[in-house]
Amino acid sequence: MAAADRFSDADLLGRCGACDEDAWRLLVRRYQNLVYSTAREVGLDGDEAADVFQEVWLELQRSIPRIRHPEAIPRWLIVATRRLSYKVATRRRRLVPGISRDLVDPGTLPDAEIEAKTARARIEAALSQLDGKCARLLRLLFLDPANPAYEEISRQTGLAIGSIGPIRSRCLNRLRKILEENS
Amino acid sequence: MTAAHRHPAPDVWRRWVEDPSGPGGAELEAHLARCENCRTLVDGLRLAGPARRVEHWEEAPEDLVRAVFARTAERAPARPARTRAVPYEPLDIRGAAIVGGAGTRIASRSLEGGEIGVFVTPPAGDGTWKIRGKVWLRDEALADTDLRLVLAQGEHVLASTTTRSGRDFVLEEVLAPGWQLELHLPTGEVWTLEDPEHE
Repeated sequence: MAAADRFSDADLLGRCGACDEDAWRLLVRRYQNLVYSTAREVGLDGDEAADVFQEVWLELQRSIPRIRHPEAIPRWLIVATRRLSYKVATRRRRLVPGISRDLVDPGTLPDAEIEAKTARARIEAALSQLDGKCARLLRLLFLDPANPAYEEISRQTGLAIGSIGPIRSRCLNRLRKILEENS
Repeated sequence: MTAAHRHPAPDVWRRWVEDPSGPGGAELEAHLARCENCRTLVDGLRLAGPARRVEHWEEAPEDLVRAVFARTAERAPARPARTRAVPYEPLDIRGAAIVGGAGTRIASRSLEGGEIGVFVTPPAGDGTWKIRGKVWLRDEALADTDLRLVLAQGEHVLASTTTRSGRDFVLEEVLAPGWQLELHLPTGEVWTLEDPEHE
């Protein structure tokens, strides 16, 4: 894990405003999946989501000096992604289930959705800073919607069932430390 | 509980974390008090917390991310303007009545250094608002100077373009109520025109 990865969102945005390209790349990396997942979740296909993905980051680059709440950057990204998803879908004259004018109005974005996506983005960003084995184990244990049993986790990770507990404990401690450093 | 390990299965703990008052809650709590292994699992489930509610999570293709880096590297991040935003004052609006059909509104402002006027046409079905307008500057030395127009909504810069004194400009964008149109003058001053529906 690179020490340079350990910046808060506010640190990164501040550095982006000062034309620090490394900070910009770190910020994009941290939230790339949040943006892409949000575009796909509202019903866009891969090409449309790709357009939205590009536009969101360009909009962020234009908007950095105006952002007064850098700690809320996930919300900013979700709001922009939803609005641009609507724009792309309507520009292509495509009827997409789930695409409605509500996407344009930030007031229709439920706080619970922002909270969940922000938490997921932060955990995924922290997981990406862990080694692959730890990240895979923690995803299976804590984020996989299929809720796999230990036998399945053992099969997918190649870990003996008896070693899952101790490894999980070490990996969780590392994850917690990264989350603290990123916050 | 799996016979081989005498610990409740992860799925049992997931349900308990989401609803500790469910069936078997007391037994699970008792087990947790004496089982460090399960406490770690429960800690992790609590740490994941709301993140577990996200139903759709998908990795962005790497080529898309690289394309963003290539496009954004070509342009410097926007610089904060030395703004002296002019607050909205109803007396500045020469016309705020509905004009023409389809809900088009006109708003214009007369300031010390010139005037700005816009026609705002609501979406015809594709969600895109059209903002047509013109800027007039009294200082003739600025006649051939590019003027930056920025369409913003809170902390979001939705679009920008350039114009010159006396020329028409058009911005078309998907908007929610409460947008602002800013004219950035070479002096650093910024004139701000608020969404006439929302002022």
